[in-house]
Amino acid sequence: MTLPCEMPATGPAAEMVASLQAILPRLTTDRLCLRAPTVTDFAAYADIYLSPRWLHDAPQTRHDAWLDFCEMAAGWLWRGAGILSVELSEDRTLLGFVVLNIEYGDPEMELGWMLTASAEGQGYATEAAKALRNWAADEIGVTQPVSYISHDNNRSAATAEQLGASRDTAAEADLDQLCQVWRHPKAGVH
Amino acid sequence: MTRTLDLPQLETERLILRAPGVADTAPMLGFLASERAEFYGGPMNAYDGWHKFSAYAGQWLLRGYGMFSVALKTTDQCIGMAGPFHPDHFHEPEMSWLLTDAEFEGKGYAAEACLAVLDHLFTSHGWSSVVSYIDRANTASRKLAERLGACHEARAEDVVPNCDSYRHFPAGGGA
Repeated sequence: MTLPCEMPATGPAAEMVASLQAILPRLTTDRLCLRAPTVTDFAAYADIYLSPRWLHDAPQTRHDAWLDFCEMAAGWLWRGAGILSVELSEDRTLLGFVVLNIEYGDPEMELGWMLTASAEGQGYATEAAKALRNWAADEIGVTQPVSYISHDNNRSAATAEQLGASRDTAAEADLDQLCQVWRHPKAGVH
Repeated sequence: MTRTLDLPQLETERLILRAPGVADTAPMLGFLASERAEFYGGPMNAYDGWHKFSAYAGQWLLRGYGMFSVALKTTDQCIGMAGPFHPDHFHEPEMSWLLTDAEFEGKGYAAEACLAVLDHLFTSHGWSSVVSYIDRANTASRKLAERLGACHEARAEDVVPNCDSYRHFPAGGGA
């Protein structure tokens, strides 16, 4: 179901969206295009956010997902980095999202990824995260970001490992919450 | 290279209405943690407050409109927010407003900010009307809606519990 808030803006608001989105980076890899998030991408975001594959501390609603999606976009206003939508270059299928974000209380910037169920298992998360990681190092001077990963999220941990990241136990000890901290390598693994 | 996103800025006699900034986090989280946030889903902890405040900011990128931070011209201090936010489960964007602290009440700041935002929505965006859902216990907001010339429409139980809907129109914008 498409809710009113998920319909693209019209009129001057649409022009505002276009002008804001034009400032965001557009990154391409062998198979993928990373581009500005749009409101029509929210349905996929909510599907991922509300799926059992996303491990939340408490039950979540679609409204929580909307606040989260907006929060991921806010980074572009405040830190010059935020969420990008990941699509397949050949047919523009939306595969998921990658994000550079600092959540409340987090000590540093996090590199994250989230894919739709059907896009998993094909190396897309690794390919997209690598592209955003390289962009962050080159364009905003963010090197060696971390990925916060729940102890029971083995898939994401495997992706972090494929990205050349390794566990940062010192950072884990400094963290209030119980999760793994994966530190990404300095030079992008191209 | 830091990318600068240019959001609209409105000016009134005493106020600047600008894009929500990270510097506004402290007053906004203070507001959302207080009893004053009763009609805004609060009081809430800092984590949830951050979630909400940053969502107010991020919606600009996705929708092309959003909540402005309301700052005093003299000090640039954020004293509240005003503007349309569109929660996932609402049929349409809602014009809302808040003042972060009681010390800013009774000075006409909320009315001044809302009139500027409404004029912006009707003039620059060409909106024909915009709704506000107001809790029946929120006397201050109801009075402000009436002062702004909004029409009391109906109960809005299907959207927000205990709320009535008030609709602002261009003609009433300057009332």
